[in-house]
Amino acid sequence: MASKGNLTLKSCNGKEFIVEEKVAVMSTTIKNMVDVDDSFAQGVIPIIGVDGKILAKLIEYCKEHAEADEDEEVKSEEYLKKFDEKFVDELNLNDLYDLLKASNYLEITKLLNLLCQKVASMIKGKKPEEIRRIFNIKNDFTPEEEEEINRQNPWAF
Amino acid sequence: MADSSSKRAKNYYSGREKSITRKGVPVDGDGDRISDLPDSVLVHILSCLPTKDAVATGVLSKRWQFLWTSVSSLEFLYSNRSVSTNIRKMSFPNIVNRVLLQHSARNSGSINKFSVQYCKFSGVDIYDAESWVITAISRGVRELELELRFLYTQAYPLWFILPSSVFTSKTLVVLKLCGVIMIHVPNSVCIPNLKTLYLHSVTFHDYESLRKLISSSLVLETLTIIRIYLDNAGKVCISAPTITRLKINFFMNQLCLQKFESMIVVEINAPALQYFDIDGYNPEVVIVTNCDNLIEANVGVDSSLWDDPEDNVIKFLKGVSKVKFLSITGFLYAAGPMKKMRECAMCVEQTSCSEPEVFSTKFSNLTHLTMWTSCVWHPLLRYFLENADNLEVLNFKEDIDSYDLNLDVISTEPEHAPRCLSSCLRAISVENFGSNMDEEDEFVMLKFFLKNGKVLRTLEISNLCIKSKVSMLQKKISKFPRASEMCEIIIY
Repeated sequence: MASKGNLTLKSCNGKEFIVEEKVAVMSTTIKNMVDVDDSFAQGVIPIIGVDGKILAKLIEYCKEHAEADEDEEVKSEEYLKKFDEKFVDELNLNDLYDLLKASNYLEITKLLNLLCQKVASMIKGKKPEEIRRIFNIKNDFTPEEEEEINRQNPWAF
Repeated sequence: MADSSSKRAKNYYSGREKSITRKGVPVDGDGDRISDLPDSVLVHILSCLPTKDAVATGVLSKRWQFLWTSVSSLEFLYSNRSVSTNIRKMSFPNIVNRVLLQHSARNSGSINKFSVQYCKFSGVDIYDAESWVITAISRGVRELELELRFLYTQAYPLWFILPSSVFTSKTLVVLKLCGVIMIHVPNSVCIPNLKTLYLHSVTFHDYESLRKLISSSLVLETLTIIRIYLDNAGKVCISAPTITRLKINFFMNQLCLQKFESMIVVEINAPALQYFDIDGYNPEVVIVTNCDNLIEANVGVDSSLWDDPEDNVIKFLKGVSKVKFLSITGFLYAAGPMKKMRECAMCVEQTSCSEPEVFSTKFSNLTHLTMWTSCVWHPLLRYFLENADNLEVLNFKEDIDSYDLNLDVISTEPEHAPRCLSSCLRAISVENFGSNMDEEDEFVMLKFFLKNGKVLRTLEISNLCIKSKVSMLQKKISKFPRASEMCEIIIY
C-alpha cells in the first residue's frame, strides 16, 4: 500500500512500482483516473499493456521531468536536454516502439514528442529503401502501383 | 519469417482498427513494428519531419501511402539542393499544387501552418501563388508564411497581389510576408485573431494600406516591418493598443536616400508596448507617445535629416523615457540637438527653463544603458547620466557603422557627479577601448567614473585588440583614485 502522496502502479506482468503522485500524474491518463476516482489514489493502478521494463523506463523519465518542473534551479533546461538525449539514444528499436505506444496510451505528451522526434530524425533525408530497411517495412506495392505513386508524388525518388 | 509477413499482410488491409486493438500489446520478433503503431503516433512522427520528407514516406508501403495527408502543417522550401529529386521534372509551383491538392482531397481539417519560400518566383507563378493562399485561407490556416523572391531578369518589377480573403480571415494568428508581395487592404476589413505580423520588403498598394492592416488586426501583439525603398507605405503611423513588441527596420540603398526622405515619418502610439526596436532607419521624424510600459528599447536612428531636430530628438527621448533597458546608436550626427541637450542637462533644476516639461524628462526606470559609442564625454551620454538616477549598468560597445564618427566630445567633465554614480551605478563595461581618436579622452572618462562611482563593483575593459596593452592599462588605471573600495578592475 502506498503512503499518502504516493501511488502504486502495476505493470501487465505484475510488477509494482511505488511513485510519487507528482511523477505519476505526468501521465494525463493516470491524472484523469486519480481525479475522477479517489479509490485509485489509495489502491493499485493497473497499467494495461505495459510491462515492467517499459514502465520502469517511463517512471525514470517522468521522475526527472516532474522534479525539473518543480524546481528549475536544480534541474536546468540544459540538464533536461542532455537527459532526454541520453534517454532516447540508449533505446533499441523495440523499446522505442513500446515506449511510443505506452506514452501515447498514457498521454505523456512530452515523452511522446521526444520519441516522435527521435523516429523522425531516423527518417529525415533518407531514401525510401533505406527507411524500409531501418524499420523493417515491407514494400507491398506492385511495381505498377509503385510507378503510379512515384508519378503522383513529386517528392518520391 | 513467413509468419511475420502474413501478419503484416493482414495489417495492411485492416489498417487503423488493427493498430488500435493492438495498442500496448508487444509483438514478438523484429517484424514491421513501426507500422503497427496507431495512426495518431505515425502522424505525430510525420509532423516532426519537413513536409518534403513526410510526403516521401507515401511510397514506403500501403500503410504509409496517405498517412502524410493527416499532417496539419505544410511547408515548402525551394532550394537548389532539392533539384536532385523529381523537381527536375516538375516545377516548384507544380509540386506545391500537387501536394496541396492531394492533401485537400484526403484531409478536410484545417491547416495549421502553410509556408512557401520560393526564390525564383516569376510572372507565370502568380496564379499558382494566388490559389495557394486562397486554399490555405479557406482551410482555416492559422499561420501563413509567404516568401517570394523574384529574379531580376524581367524588365518591370512584378508583384504578387495578396488575395483579399487574407484580410478577413478569422483563423489567421501569424502572417509573415516577404518579398515581391503587394498589400492592398480594402476598406472595412478585420483580422480578429492576428497576433503576429511580419512584413519584410513588401510593397503597399497605397499610403493607407499599412495603416488599415494594423488597425484591422484587433489583437496584434508583435509587429515587425522591414522596409525597402519605394515601398509606398507612406507615413508609418502605428496606433495600436495591444502591441507589445514592435520592430521597424529599414534597408535601403544610400543612393535612394534623397528621393525617399520626404516620405519617412514614423508615429507610434502603443500603450502596451514593451519591446521597441527601431534601426537602420533615417526617418524625417519619429514621434513616440503613450508608451509608458516600455521595458526595452533599441534605438538606431540617424536624426541628421530630422525636421526641427532641436525639439524632436528630445521629444523622442521623452517618448521612450519609461524604458528599463536602453541601447542607443542614433542621434550622433545631430550636433544641434546635442548642443541643446547639453544646455538642458545643465539647467534641469532651473524652473526658468523655456520648455520645462520636455527638458526635465527623467529616465527614472532606466537601469541598463548601452551606448554604441566610445567611452568619452559627449552630450548624449551626459544627458542620460544626468537624468537616469537609477542607472545600475553602463556599457560601451563598438558600432562598426559609426566607427569613424565625428563625436561631439566635451572635454570638460560635469562639475557635480550625476546622482546615479553615488547611489546605484555598479557595473561599467567598455568593449571598445581605443575606438576614439584620442585615447586620453577615454582615460578622462574612466578616471571620472572611478573617482565618483561610490558603489561601483566592476569596471571591465574587454576585447582589447593589442594584448600588450593590457598591462599598460592595468598600470595606468590602477593608479586612478577610487571612491569605491570594493571596485574590481578587469582588463583583458
